[in-house]
Order: sequence, then C-alpha cells, then structure tokens
Amino acid sequence: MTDEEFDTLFRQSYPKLYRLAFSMLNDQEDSRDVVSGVFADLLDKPHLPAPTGEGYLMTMVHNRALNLLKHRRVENEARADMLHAVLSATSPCLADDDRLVEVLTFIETQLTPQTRRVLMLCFDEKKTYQQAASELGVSVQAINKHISQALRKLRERFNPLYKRNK
Amino acid sequence: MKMKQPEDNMELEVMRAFASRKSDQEIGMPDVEQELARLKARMAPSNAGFSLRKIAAILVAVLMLTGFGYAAVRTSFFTKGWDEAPANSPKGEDCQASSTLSSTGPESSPLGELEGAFLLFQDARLDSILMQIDQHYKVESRFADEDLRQIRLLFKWQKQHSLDEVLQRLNGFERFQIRREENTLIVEQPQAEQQSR
Repeated sequence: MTDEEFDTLFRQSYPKLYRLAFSMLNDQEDSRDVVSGVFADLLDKPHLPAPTGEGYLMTMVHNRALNLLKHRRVENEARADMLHAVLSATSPCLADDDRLVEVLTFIETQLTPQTRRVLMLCFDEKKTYQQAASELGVSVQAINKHISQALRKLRERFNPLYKRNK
Repeated sequence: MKMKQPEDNMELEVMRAFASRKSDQEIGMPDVEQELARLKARMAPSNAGFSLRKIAAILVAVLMLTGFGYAAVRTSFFTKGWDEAPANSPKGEDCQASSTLSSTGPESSPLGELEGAFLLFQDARLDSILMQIDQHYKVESRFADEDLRQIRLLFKWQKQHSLDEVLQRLNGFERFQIRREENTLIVEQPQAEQQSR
C-alpha cells in the first residue's frame, strides 16, 4: 500500500470508524486511540494491499474496541449490563447508514415513549440498568423488560431469521 | 440441510443508530487531517527507535560473544589438568597419551586449589579419572572387571567435594558401580547386571 493509498483510505474511512468506536465506547479519547491503533497496524504492515471495502476496517475497530472494554475491569463492573450486550455480539455491526436510519426511525415511531427513553439511557448514554431505573423511578426488572421487548421487536423487523438460543 | 443461523448484533446496531444521529461536534469528531498528521508523527519516531533498538541488540550480542570467547580462552589455555599429572605415576604416559582434555576452574592456581576449582574430564577413561581421584583423596582403585577401565566419561570433578560425594556422582552413570571399602575403591559391574549373571 502506497503512502497515497493510505492517506486516501484514512481520510475516507476515519469519520465512520470513529463513529463506530464512539458508539461502543462513548469516550472521545478511547475512540481516537482505537481508530488510530487500527491505522497504525496498517502502517506496520506496508506489504499488505489496501483493504477493500470498509468492512475490514470496521471489524478491526470493533474488535479493538471490544478488547478495550474487556480490559477495563473497573468500568466493566459498573456497566456490566450494557457491556454484556456488547460483548455477547457475535459479529461486528456493519450496517450501512441507510439501515441505521431505518433502525432509528423504527425506534422513534414504533416503540412506546418509555421504551424509547429506556433505550436511549442504556444504549446511547451507556447508563447501567440500575442508573436508568433510578432516573425513571422504576425497577431494574422494568428496565430489563423494556429492553427485551424493544430488541424483540427490532429483531422481528430487521433480523427475522435470527432465533436466540434458549 | 440446516441453515446457518444469521448472526445477531442488534444491540450494537441500536448503539450505532443512536450515535449516527449526533453531530460531529456532539461526539467530538477529531479533525481528520490533524489525526493523520498525529499518526504519522507517532509512527516516525518508532522507526528510528526500532533502528536504535536494533543497534542496541547488536551491541549486546557482540558483548555476549566476546564474553563467551573470553571464557573459552580462559578455560582452554589457562588450565591445570593432565599437564600437572605426577610424572612418577605408573600410568602417567597413558594419561598424557589419552584423548582426555581437562580444565580447571579459574580459581585454581599452581600453589594450591582454591574452593570452586574443578577438573573437567571429556571422554576420559574411567581408570584415568580414578587415578586422579586416588591421588587427591589418598585411596586406591581396583577394578573387579578390567573391561570397565575403558569406559569413557564426561565428568566434572569438583575437588572440594568429599570422596563420598564424588563417588555418588560417578555411580550416577549406572554403567559401573564404585564401592568404597575404607581406602579402597572397588570398581565393578552395576548391581543389576551382576545379578543377571
């Protein structure tokens, strides 16, 4: 990969990769480090051809962010609920922007306001179930129920072939 | 045929969906050009560092080789062993003609043997080794089986060890057995072989 190819790849991919990292980590510095780390790895291997498609880089960012989450033990204990969801994902999320817009639209139009609020607290603001429960004045079980229902509806709509093993 | 279950990462997808609606400012999107420059600056010193590390590794290797060479020279040329075997020993000529090389530890000197001195017998005949041991410990070796004289050993003799300690180490070879009867060392076949005869 030439310097020019690398620079072009960096400029084109960085914003999307940073957003992916931030969606998982919710931290600016961590997100910068993760994305920079991925590109540093590419620089360390100049003999490799430039990655084709964003999927490869997205996967690398996803895996690196996952490793960072796994190693942050103190934080992990506080955010166990959300991290469990992230860490149990079987593959990186490679949904394109159009699909993300659809998901967002579904959340905003098809879910109840309370469920939407729970999703935002836990998936966007990365609050624990306990924190969300305190903020909304409900029980942790209620939070759990809202999330389960929301994910079930989302899967029915966007991933109908998936059947969670019991 | 069982269909492979599609993978699910709906939680991650929801997270990304929420993040996608935020502005660059809200998520603290860095300046891409600055990040590129920062990355290159970070990578550049590591290349030089690698060279420095490489140089350091080469220096260390050279020093180690020099050390090994020094040790080899010291142990090979400044030795006391067969050269100092007593001339009046009945087997002196045999010993000198043998293919044995011996060396002493660096602590030994012509004036006496300091603690830590040793003799290294490389491919030495057992009778030659025992001749040295006999002289040092004032004992006499006798071979119950003459064939055992020709057994060749690699043996490091620590002179500060007691005779019993030395015999214990020699008996570890299991090709012969040395039994001590006061000031006499009897060299015979290993016990198992004796019983089978």
